[in-house]
Amino acid sequence: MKKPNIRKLISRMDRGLLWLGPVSVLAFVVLLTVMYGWVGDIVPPTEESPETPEISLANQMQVPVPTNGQQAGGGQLANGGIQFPAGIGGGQIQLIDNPTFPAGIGNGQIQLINNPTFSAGIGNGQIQLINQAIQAPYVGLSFGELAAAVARELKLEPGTGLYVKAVVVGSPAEKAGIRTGDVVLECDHQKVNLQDQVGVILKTKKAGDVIKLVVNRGGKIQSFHIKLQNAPNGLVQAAATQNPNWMGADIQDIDAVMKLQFKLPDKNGVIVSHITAQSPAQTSGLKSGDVISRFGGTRIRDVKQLQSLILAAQPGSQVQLTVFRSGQYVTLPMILGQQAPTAPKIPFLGPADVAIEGAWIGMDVAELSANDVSSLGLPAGTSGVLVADVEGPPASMVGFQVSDVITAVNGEPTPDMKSFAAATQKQTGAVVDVIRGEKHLFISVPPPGFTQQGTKIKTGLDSKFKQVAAARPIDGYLAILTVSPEINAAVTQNLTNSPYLVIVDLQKDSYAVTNAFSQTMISELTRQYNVKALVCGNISEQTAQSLSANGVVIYSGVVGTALEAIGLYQSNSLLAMQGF
Amino acid sequence: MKYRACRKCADSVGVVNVVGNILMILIKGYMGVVGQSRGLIADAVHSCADLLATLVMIIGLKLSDREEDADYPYGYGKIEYIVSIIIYLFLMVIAAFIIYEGIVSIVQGRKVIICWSAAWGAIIAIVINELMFRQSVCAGKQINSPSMVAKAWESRSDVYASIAVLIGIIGAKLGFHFMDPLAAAVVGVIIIKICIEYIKESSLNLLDKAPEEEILVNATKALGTVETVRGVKNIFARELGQYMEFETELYVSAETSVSQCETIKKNVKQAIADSIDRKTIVKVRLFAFSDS
Repeated sequence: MKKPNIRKLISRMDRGLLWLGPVSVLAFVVLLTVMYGWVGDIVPPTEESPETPEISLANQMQVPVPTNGQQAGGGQLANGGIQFPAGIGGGQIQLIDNPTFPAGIGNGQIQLINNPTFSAGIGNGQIQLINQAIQAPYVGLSFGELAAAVARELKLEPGTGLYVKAVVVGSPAEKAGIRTGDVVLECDHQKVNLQDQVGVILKTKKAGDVIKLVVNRGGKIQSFHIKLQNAPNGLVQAAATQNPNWMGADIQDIDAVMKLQFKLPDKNGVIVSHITAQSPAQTSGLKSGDVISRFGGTRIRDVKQLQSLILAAQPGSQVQLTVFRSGQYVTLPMILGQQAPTAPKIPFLGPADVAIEGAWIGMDVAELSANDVSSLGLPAGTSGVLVADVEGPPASMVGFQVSDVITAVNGEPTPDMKSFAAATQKQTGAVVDVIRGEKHLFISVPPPGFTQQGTKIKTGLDSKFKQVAAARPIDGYLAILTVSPEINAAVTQNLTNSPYLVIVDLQKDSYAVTNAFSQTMISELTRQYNVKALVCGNISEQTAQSLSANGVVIYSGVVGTALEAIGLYQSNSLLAMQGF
Repeated sequence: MKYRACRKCADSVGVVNVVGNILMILIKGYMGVVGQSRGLIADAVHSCADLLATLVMIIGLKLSDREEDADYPYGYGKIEYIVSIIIYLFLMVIAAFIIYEGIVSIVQGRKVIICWSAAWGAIIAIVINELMFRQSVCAGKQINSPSMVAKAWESRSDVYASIAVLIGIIGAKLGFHFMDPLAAAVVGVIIIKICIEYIKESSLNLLDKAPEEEILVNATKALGTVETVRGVKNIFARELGQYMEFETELYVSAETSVSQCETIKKNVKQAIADSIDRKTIVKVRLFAFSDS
């Protein structure tokens, strides 16, 4: 050291302080190393390649879906939800991702899963239904199936109580002392046997309220008091990301059909499907059919990105929206953070009193009667066509639900059955204006043989579905390839990891499981058990060929649990793999 | 010296280097994490290694200033080496991890989406490094300190790591995703090289390795200038923290009195201290010189 001033500086330093230097640098090195490892873990977002023709159905089904049930955090959820529209599109009805949902948000979301047609809704990019989720306070419990053996051990009647599968760290439930493995018997003095019940109870509560949970822990009855909270930031964000009503504007992602219909240059941006009267969105001049392409200076890709910008923006600040409207870009000023007027709640819908019936793309429709209008809580004078029943694909696939009201097809209003029939006659892909509860949205119906993302399906959509329907009922057993030997196990996505076979006898409502076996034995096993239908997450073309040579119908690309797969199979919602 | 301020400038070189290094570490670390470049993070660790070298030196200075006591009669001069061996062994583990992770992510073909801010981080680091180099060289020339110039050239080689990282980032940006982890692995190798050098140096100093020939030759020459010294029997030297410790055995005339011997010792100490531009400890033993 030949630097006298350093020496002077040092001599003034205390000896204890001296060690601080290298120690802090070393600490920083450790921090950097941790970050270094962390940087490597960042997986690139699934690249969108919607225009590429689909090579085979099985191939398309391999799109990675976050099925990570163990992730109890909310952020995961948001990502999971959003990746659906981009990567998967409407073509894949099998996408039920049950494990992700209950984990963090818990409350309102449960209803989605029980909604039989929701699977398709996600694919379509219409995430409207999750709208209500943020209002309910959160407990932080994730419920799962109560295994029969566990129930016996706890001396519980099967089907009573809710098994706590996971407790969100730092959640009110954790603070109150609820643990994984507890069985919740009562919530707020009401017996609970279904997840929805908890959601319903929570909806009537607000943050700060205290509810009592009675649980069975290891055979003993204990009670806990939980002080409810609003979902933490991440969770709110998760819900908000999926909430496409923004200041009175219903927004959604653009798919290939909409792009054609609205003559858009590309699929970037966010389309406005409806504007609530007297909302800030209306005041600022937004109109239905507008495509928001820029938010301030930032180019908008999709709903997720717009939501993240909105969340990051300062409430009360003004932002310039660049909107693509009938071939031109228009700039609109918008003041952020204003609340849209809340629409009235939807009363329960009884069986539709059907006047004139029709059928279209796998659903029964009827002219909307005045009775329906009032029971649906729609503004008087609303006319359109009511979806009375969604029977199967493609209607269920693209996201139609019972009690949707179709107000226009391809921009042509459909106030009655006659105009609806006329509008749907020339069906070469349509964008349908739908009122669902207090939401308006566009649902894209792809032309036959295409998915909503514009990818081509190898065989025509319609013909394929008919063939599937005609092929049932199949004699013999239904078998599901799973990751563990339980009826509730996840459908395996990777056959090389020694799967198990869950064999179901639908007539007798019984099932059996095999031991783990190697991939090469599938063919032999299916013969042995007289398996006629095989559900799996993913299968090689070779294996599929040899199996189908034995007369096994293969349903590939299924995500979720074996139980869900059975449900899907029974509701004829699975597509058989063919043409390989 | 060209200007009056040159002396001041040269004095500030040390502080500028420390501050510049800290600044670089922070910029590289931050930009690396935000920009998601493994290479840049590795480079930040690399800069940490440099900064640690300086800090260890400072610790050594401070500790070897401490007076020897009953328990440690030879003082605390060697603690610097032990500290630096520990620190660099630790850094070596980190570097090994960096190389391993880098290779793993190349093998797995991971895609890391790098942001341009990482490239800016690398560019800023290169610029800071270059500016510090220029200042050191200029100041070293002006105050005639070749060691300062030599040190500046040494630390300039740090810039190669940053350049490699920049290339890696640009490569990754162009779609060659393996290039960023590759740059990280290269930087990891550089860090390991530095660590090995320092560990080797410290271990050798712990073993009291003889200093460069030149130092001993200079000292011997200096001894020749002390008049009463009749001959040099032996001269050793070793590093002891910031000190250079000499041990010398000299011949003096047999008739020399003890008080004369004390004067000779004093002169010898002075002569040796003058022959080298660092602090010295000189131990002198005198032997009677006989003509036979």
